[in-house]
Amino acid sequence: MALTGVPDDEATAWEELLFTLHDRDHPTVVFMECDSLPRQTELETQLQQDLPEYQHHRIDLTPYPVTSLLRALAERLPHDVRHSPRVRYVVHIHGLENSLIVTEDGELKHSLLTAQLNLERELLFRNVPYILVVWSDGVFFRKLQREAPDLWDWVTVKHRFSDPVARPIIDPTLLLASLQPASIAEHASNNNRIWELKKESKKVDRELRSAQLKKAPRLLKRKVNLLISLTTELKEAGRYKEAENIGREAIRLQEKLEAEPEQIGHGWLVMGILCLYQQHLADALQAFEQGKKYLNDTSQGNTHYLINYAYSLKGEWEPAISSLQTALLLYQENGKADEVSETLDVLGLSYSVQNQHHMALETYREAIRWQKAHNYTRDLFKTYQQVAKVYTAQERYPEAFYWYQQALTLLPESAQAQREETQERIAHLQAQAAENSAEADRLSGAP
Amino acid sequence: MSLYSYPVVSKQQARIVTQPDFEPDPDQFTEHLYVNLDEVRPEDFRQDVLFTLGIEEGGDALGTLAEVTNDYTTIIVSGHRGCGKTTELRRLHRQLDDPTRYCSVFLSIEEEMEYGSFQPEDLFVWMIIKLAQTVEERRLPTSRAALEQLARQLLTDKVIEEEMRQSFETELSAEGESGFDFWWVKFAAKAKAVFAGTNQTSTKIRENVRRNTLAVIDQINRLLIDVRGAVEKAQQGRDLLLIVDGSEKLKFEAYEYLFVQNPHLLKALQVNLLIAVPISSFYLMRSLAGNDFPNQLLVPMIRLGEPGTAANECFKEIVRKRIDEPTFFEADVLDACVLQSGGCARQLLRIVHQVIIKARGNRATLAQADAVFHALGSELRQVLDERHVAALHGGLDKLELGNEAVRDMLLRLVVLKYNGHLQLNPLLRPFFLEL
Repeated sequence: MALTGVPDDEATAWEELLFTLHDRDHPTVVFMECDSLPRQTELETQLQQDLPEYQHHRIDLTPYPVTSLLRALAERLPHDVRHSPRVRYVVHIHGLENSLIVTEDGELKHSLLTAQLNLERELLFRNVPYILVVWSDGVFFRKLQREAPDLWDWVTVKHRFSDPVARPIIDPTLLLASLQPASIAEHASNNNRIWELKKESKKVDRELRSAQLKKAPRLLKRKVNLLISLTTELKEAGRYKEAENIGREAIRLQEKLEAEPEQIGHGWLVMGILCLYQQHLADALQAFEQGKKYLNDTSQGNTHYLINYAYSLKGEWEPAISSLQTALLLYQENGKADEVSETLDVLGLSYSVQNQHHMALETYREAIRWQKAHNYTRDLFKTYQQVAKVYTAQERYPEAFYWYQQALTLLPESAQAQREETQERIAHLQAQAAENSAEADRLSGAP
Repeated sequence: MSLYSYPVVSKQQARIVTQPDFEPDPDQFTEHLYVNLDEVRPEDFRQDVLFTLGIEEGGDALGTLAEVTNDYTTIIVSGHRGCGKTTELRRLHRQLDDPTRYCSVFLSIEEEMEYGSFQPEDLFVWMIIKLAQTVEERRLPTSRAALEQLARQLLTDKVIEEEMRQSFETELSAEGESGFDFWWVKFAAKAKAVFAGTNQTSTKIRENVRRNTLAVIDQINRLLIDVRGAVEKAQQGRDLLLIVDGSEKLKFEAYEYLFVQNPHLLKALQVNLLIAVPISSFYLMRSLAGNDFPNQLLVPMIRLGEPGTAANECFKEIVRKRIDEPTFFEADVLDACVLQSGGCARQLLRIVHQVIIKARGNRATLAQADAVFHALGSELRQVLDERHVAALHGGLDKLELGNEAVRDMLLRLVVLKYNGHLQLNPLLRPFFLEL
């Protein structure tokens, strides 16, 4: 069956894939690349439907630290699959990328998985009776290509698919809440201030109408300052549309006055944020792009950081991550240590919510290195917890437990609330692990 | 293994027999598929190996091992991935394993070992295991004294015995009919699992070998004398030969340990040894290891010419023997595939396989072939980073084998080494038109 709703090259690739896999008497290994986990599942379902001559078995290796895929298959696949007649089964492997990073000697390190895959290449092709389909993302396969060239050469069936659906990266309300530090209700008293600023602004307008030419610039500057203040007050009062209109007027005047580029650029960033609040995402991106034209390198980091928000809300994963990575690079180049630490944290979280666990761990590995080098103990505590959460999501409970314990060691005695919170997480983790173990026992028929 | 009637005409079979991993039945391979590339290789790799091993080759017949000496050599073998190293090593193994030549013992690293856990001392343990297995399988009348001594040295430890019993379900006991010499055969069944993990058995054995390497090698040499004598007595060969394949996939640290830091260890072994290393390490070792291993042989790439030349026709034969050309290719398509292979047999098969897929098993056109060339070129382009691109833009004639980026490109088939010079992989030429 043809793949629909996809670019032509992907539809063609699907046909080629089916031609390669139909009615085989000879096993093979297939690489299926797709950065979107939901899309991987959809494609796998489609593949199962399109290859009805085989039985299909899915295995998610996420919870298991895999050193040797061959060994993992021998240990994890049911007997029927392992000892099946030649090419009766298609085995779909997921989560292998989660074994790229391991916790070893108290650190997050790169594992030897890719090198081992390279070494056991012949055995993967010749010592298993089923078709092996490895589902993973671009990062995993690029790494495999670099580090397992012998295996890469032997795998001739490799296809890449995109996700035609823009899936939300993160709950928009949560994301927007992270931009707004204070509750809008707290700023109800702004209304008086707003009224005063408007009144003052009108007064300046009257003065401008009757002023001599040489006084105009001074008055315009005063007008600009008032508009900027008004924009801020309206923003904090949650009156975003109004704030945006006022803010755009301020920028127009700043440009007329040839104000400092940094000021204009900052104004555009504020416009972009206001558009984010209103979820006018295209307008937000436009405003941020305008801001980039005016801002210097030091401030560009902030711009890209905000662009990430717009793409995240749009559900456009790749540009969101890309802009965050650009922000990170700029912060690093400009020595913005605090921003680097925070951006690494946000980047890790962005990967986590997409269940791109290995990328999250890779990022946290970098964050830990940075935070240790700069003695950011508080940030380190947070990162250790994030690492533990990633492992929890992967159901790798021993590692999760280890990282929560590491986080506890960073806390001073006085941090009672944080200590209790972390210990609560550990208790929850232990309960989860026990539940999973009981479930695993139940499924395996163990007492 | 499936048996096919070659050259195949079925679409389903064509997509199988052109896969790089396809392993034909050995007899079918020899009879129907093997293409002798000796005449079109610029250097006679095979003759160099045979000469070094004391075998004379004359005409169609392979000569005998005329003289057995106590002068043993380690031959380091290398070559580009997909140039036919494993094929040649296995071919040598089959041909040299003969009562008038050698008792050849083939050790395949990927079948026996796990990458992540491999330590250089494991190589010596595996040699012992392979020799013990050879003694068993060929029923060689050895005294077994050396095997027994090695077992006492490396395996008799209460901790090891207990762990082997509990964790690996293997009874290494000297009671009953089994003697210490049989321990190796029993240990062999679990050796991969033992050395793959972190356990007391692997730790103790490795420590023992590391601390007493020369003593262990000394014992291995006694074993070699033992086995050699038994081989001659049983008329299964005039000498022993050990071929180690797949070692080119190990960590560089392993080569560094064996060939650069401790060359005396392999040189102390009293056996002729062929061992493969990756091409990047081959050139690095040349600069580091000096003359410790004078016998270093490269399986060279085939230098192709225009369509119709001997090398090109040989390469076409590789494909024609597998699939029926007119069924699957329009005119000139196979010629184009051969040119894009750059003289690398595996690359040729990859290209041909992809073209068959692209055409869904129908007669492939040049346009379809071009699309495949472009896709494979793009895929190869992905591995290039800034230092590779900078080195390439400096000019192919300026590439130095001592340069790390250049060695990396050799390893990745970005550049191909022919006799005397380097060339860009043909699949990449559209991306580097200026070169």
